[in-house]
Amino acid sequence: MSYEKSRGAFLPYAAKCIRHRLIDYSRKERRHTETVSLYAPTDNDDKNTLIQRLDSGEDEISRHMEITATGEEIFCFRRELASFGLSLTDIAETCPKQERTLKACMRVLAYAKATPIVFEVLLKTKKLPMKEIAAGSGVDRKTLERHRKYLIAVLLAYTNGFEIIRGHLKQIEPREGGRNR
Amino acid sequence: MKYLVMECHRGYAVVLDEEGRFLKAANLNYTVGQELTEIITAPPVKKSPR
Repeated sequence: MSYEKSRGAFLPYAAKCIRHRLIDYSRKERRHTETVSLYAPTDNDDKNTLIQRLDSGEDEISRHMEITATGEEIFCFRRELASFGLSLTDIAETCPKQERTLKACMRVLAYAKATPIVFEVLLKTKKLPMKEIAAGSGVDRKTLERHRKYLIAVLLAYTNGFEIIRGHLKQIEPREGGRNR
Repeated sequence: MKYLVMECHRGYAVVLDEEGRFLKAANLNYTVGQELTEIITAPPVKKSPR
């Protein structure tokens, strides 16, 4: 837009320009009159917005119940561990750091799964049958001694009553088979 | 990797990963039984020689 002095006064020209701009803007915005913002307050309550009323797609109640059930199972697991004189912090501190050691521990688990008497002895005597496990799984006794607390926790998770924890450990599969007798 | 919150302390939480590792992680207001997809692992504490 350019103003030419020869064609008249500036003020009427500016007024016309402003008016046309406002008309253009109002026409442009008219297409959005049907659109409602999700963050706009609802009719009844100024504090609530539309997005808060929309279904998030998640079932909050069943999620809460799931967490509660898992929490209860973990509480039982911790109580069971306490009967061995162990806490989860102890176990986290003695957990295998190296992949090779973790594999060795998984071989022990595979052996115990194949030999249920290991679980029975563990629950009855509150001790790991080291000699038997070392011979059956082929894992060095020193490694077993070093990770005794961790092994107790993992084996305990595979005894009855800890389905949720076991379900979480679905990735645990022995990569190398144990040397079963 | 998914982690299951096993124990919560003021400064850290003990979580269990899917491979069977028990790990210490920063407790970002977690609840026991909660499932996480990411954690901030706590660095191992070095014992000072006496």
